[in-house]
Amino acid sequence: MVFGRSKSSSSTASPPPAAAASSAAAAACSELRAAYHECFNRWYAEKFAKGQWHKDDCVGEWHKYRACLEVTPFSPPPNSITASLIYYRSPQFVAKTTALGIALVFSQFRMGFHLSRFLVYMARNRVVF
Amino acid sequence: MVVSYTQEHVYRHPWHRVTAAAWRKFTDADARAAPLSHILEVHTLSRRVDAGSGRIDAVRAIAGRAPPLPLLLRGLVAAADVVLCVEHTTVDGPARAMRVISRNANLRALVHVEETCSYRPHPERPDEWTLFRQETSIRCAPLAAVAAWAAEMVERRCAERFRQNASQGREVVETICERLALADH
Repeated sequence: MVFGRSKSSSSTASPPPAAAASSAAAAACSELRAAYHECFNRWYAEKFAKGQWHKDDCVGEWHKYRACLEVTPFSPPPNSITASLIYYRSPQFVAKTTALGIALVFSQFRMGFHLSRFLVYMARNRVVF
Repeated sequence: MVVSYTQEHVYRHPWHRVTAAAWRKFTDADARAAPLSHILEVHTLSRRVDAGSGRIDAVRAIAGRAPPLPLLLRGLVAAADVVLCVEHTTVDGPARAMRVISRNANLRALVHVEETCSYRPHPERPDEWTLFRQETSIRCAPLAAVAAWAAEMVERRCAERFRQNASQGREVVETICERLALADH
């Protein structure tokens, strides 16, 4: 009992090392990305676009940035863009939006029966949008 | 049904300056603050620079906050908060040609947008002005299969929105060109 209590208190006191390392690495990648963008924009404007393309000045920044991305374990933070892209739509949500779509179509458009048939088909087959 | 349109614009700046401004359009801090505040992140996915022939090939992912969808599409999909575009840029230094092809990477089941922009020296004043040409193609896939007229209506509504965004983008490029011109002198 005493051992369990101390264990839980120690775990709550300090954040997990993996999460801390991951967030620190993400910040470092962001800085390297900004450094690469700045380097490329300056090189392009001052050299490449004016005819001096014989040397690529930003290979070093690019390799540092890519190396950072490859080493970092992939763990998107909550509410990140990646999480938004893989957002899941439940069957209940599909049924609701389908019903809403049918009502919308019937109330506002003359040839709505075509679209409503399409929506009914999608609802019955549990198609995820 | 596919809705396509072409826009042209003449920048009164040389090609090297306009293309440099085009690269900076989405990464510029001032542009991100005001006119392009809906741009969330810009990632360079791959790049290849051929020093011998003076060519650049780059692929960038641009994430932006989604505009409100046309009314007819709102019932079909959850409120998408992020639109992800993949932008493929090709620059040919000796030919002074820059070509940017953008496509939306998500929401493709809903609307498919392809945008091709080209920057070339103006034919009459090649050293002073730059001719910008933008071709946009919009297709609304789910409605096209059911009701062509509804698909066309949605596509035209999207086209109006994209025209407004395009004019905003041109203003940003003009502003960056002015700043680069000051830096040149």
